[in-house]
Amino acid sequence: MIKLRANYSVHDIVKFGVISKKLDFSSISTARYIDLEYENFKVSNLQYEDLDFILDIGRFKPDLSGCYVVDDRYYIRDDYIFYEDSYKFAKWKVEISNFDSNDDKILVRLQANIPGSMLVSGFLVDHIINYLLNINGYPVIHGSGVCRDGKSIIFTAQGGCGKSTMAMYFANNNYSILGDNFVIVHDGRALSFLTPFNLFHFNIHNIWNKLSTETKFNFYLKYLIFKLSGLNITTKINIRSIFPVADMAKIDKILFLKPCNRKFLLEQINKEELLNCILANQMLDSINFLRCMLEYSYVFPESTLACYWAMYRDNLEKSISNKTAIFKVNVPKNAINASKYIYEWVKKNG
Amino acid sequence: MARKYSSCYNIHDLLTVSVNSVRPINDLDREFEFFRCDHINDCNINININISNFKPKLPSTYYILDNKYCISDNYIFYKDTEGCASWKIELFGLETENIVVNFYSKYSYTKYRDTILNPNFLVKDLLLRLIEYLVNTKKGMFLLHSAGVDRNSTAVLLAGRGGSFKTTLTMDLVRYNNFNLLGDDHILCSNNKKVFSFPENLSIFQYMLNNLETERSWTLSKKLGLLYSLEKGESKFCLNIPKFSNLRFIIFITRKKQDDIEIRKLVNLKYISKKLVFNNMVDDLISPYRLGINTGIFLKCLFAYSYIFPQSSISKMYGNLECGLSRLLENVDVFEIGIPYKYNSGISSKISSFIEYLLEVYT
Repeated sequence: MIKLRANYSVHDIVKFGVISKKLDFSSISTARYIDLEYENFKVSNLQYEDLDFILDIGRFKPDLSGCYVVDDRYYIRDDYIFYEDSYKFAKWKVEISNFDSNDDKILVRLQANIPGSMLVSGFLVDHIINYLLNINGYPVIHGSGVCRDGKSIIFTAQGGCGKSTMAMYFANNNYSILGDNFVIVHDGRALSFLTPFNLFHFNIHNIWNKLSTETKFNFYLKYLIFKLSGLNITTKINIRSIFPVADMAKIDKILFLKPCNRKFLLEQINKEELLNCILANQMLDSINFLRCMLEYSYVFPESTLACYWAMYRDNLEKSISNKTAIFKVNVPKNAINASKYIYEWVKKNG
Repeated sequence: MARKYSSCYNIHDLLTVSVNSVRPINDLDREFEFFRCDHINDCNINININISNFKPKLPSTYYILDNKYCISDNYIFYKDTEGCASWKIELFGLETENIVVNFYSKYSYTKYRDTILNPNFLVKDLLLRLIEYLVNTKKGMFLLHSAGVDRNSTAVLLAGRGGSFKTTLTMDLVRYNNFNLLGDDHILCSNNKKVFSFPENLSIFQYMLNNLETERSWTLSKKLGLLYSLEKGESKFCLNIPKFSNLRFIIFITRKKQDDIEIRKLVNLKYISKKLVFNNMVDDLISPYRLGINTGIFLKCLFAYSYIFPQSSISKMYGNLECGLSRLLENVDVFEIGIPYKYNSGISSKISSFIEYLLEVYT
């Protein structure tokens, strides 16, 4: 008996459903947090047969017969991974099957406790979406993207480099947002990946007057909890509610942000250098999931999963046109000033 | 003036390491006992580690990644807290042959009692990764995550992920089948198929050899016995460890939910070298998991540094490894042995006799 069901579609390339057979606290919470994260992808008219992967939330017992046991924690057989993991208070159990054969849908079973349910998107769902997008030739870049008049600028960076600040600054100046954390690239175009903004004390003033009183109150309550207990619960807010968004646009410029203690610097780099940077960035970004991927790759070195990073680089190479202008930018600590510079520079150079 | 502790290690005249510390480094000395030497030439130290609290000497221009990694040419500084440990690390001369490391770490002992006996656990791990990185990029050699034994200058490597009973098999091969030990967790491979021994924690290995049936049969009394013998210096090693040997066989050991052992030959060179690369990568990724740390410290530095300097030698480490391995593996016979989930002594005797058979037929 399926008691809960929600469907999501990422540009019709990756379609996934969340189901639950038993409604307990943790599965309701998990479903809620997933819904919050992928709100903008939600669709109602999807058939079960069309789905690319299914996330089944709730208690389950894995069938481990014939599995390789690596590091006493990962159970692996052809097309199948099971593992348990934890982070601070969060605990989860994951079973992923059918990911290596192209014809069938990926089945994921997930059991997480309440703190774990808040992290589901970061430790699992994002990575599976990225994986599916990649094997379909749509690599995802960790970065933010904005566009105007059908031309887009992508800011690729690590966390804390000011990519959200850049995106917000541009959005405050009549640009539309393509994504705050991820952007999909394909065939010289950037496709949107609209996940919610994470509000922090250092970026909230950029969009202060666009927030409702309730959100502000909510934010400061959580900030107080953070200051008192060190427990960091981020406030998320849907981008759609504050900025205009766009679906896709031609890639005009890619700016690769490097935070630096010195002054602002902008210089052109070649594509090869960018690809290497993005690859390192992406690996650093998916380090939580990397272990699972590498353990499987060790057992099956010729599987699709084992070729994932080589494939990712190839796809990037194909997706970014050779004519795209690529720059690296040294961003000083105050990212707002840098945003101003870049904005003026873009205005001047078209 | 606080007392200073220092040690030097000479790794087969390939690399030299010097460690200076304000706290005792007995555990580090135990780990690298085999390589200890009295003196090394000051101007020729490849890895120089200082363990004490320090103030970072940040260069005038540096990049800041993730709000914690400070990176500049040949330089990384970062501090972090995870699991039961907090540490800070500063690396100078990262792309040269002479790396200087400043390191300082603190543990909360209540959470992971293991660390009481291993106060330098993170340094040990870091040192291993630095050795792996240096021999890879500067010497064209590889530190493989694999056990190894030798007889008559023919080396058999036993590769496998954690929990695949590599150590137990090595123990049994050494004590019942007259093999020489090359290493029970890592091994140094050179381009010309030479395998250099890399034994770690020899006195503990020796104690296990004398007192334990498998690597998992630690009981409280055995542990106390180990402490006692370490204290008295009884279990000084009396093993015969050759300096190097010639690579001839690689055997992958994997644990599987099944009842009997199965053996198959692997012939695809690309498949094998990839498998070895992934084995090393996972090892670099998870090495300090015992302290509740999810990601190896050096691997994070490696990713962060290659993000800022994508053309640096450090970002080519795994590429080098895969290239080098495919050359190395010609004329090496490779097998994969699946062993049952529940380990018993029958397994080790079966594998031993298989290895004996290999040596007889193939050489």
